[in-house]
Amino acid sequence: MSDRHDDDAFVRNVAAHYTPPPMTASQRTRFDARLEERTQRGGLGARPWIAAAAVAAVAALFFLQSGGVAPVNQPTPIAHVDENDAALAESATPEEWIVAMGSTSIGDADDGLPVDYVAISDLLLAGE
Amino acid sequence: MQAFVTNFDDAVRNVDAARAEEFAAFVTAHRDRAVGMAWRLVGGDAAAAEDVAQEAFLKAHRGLASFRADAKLSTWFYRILVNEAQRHLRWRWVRQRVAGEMPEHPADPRPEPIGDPALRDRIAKSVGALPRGQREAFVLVHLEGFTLSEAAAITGRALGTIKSHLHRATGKLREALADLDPNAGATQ
Repeated sequence: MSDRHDDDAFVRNVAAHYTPPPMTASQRTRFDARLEERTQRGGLGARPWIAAAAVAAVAALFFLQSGGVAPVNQPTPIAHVDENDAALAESATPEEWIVAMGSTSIGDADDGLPVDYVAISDLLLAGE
Repeated sequence: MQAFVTNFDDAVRNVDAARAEEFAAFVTAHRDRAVGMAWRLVGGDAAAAEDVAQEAFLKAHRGLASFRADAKLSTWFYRILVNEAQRHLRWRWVRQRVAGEMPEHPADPRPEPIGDPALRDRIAKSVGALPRGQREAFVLVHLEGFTLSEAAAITGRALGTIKSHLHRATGKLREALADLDPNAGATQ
């Protein structure tokens, strides 16, 4: 018998025992509904940092046009701040806020591992 | 000017609606296969398979504007799916090393796959133990029925590499799962 024929029989056995169950109608409906909700959410509202960056750019223009005077203890007029930036917004001067927003990497927040695991993964996966 | 804006807004809405309809049709056509393929790539975890398929469709939806028509849309999508499965496996690997073994999943209300669960787990572990290239080649060609050329296009590897991966993967699995090999006794 050829190797190819031997492989076919073995592969058929593996496939027969390693087959996912077919999706039920309710699973399909749930899957589609969840996907539709996520695709509709995928506009600007799903990325609050874009709105925050836009506001920071406007604040920078306003700051530059006002002559560069740094107000003391004035609240920073941030319209949309996600929870990660709330602490910064409370304590930062306008200059610090603008620098912080400018250094934020613009990328798909869903890509890659969570930030706290990226550094660990590089160490742990060094031998992969 | 107002008429132009209104007409433009209508045109954009029509394009958006047409795209949404096209995407929905694409999902309907490929959903079951995507979930099944993800299931085999991530080791038989039904919940993870659905998550991987969801992420792949989502990324495809976001990337449609940049899709180059020099490749088949389905090939492009399955490449995203394979990469998402690998991302999931890598994430699971890191979590297990940082936080210990994953807790057992609560009872899954979905229907159980057919066959012996212990054997299925053995196959899942054996397939999961293969290096990435061999695992993907074996699943895509032998379990999902893609041709060698299709598997090469999906994985972005050369045809010769796919053949080599497939040969090695099959050899390793025949050793690990000798009880599934009808010719195991005859070769000894």
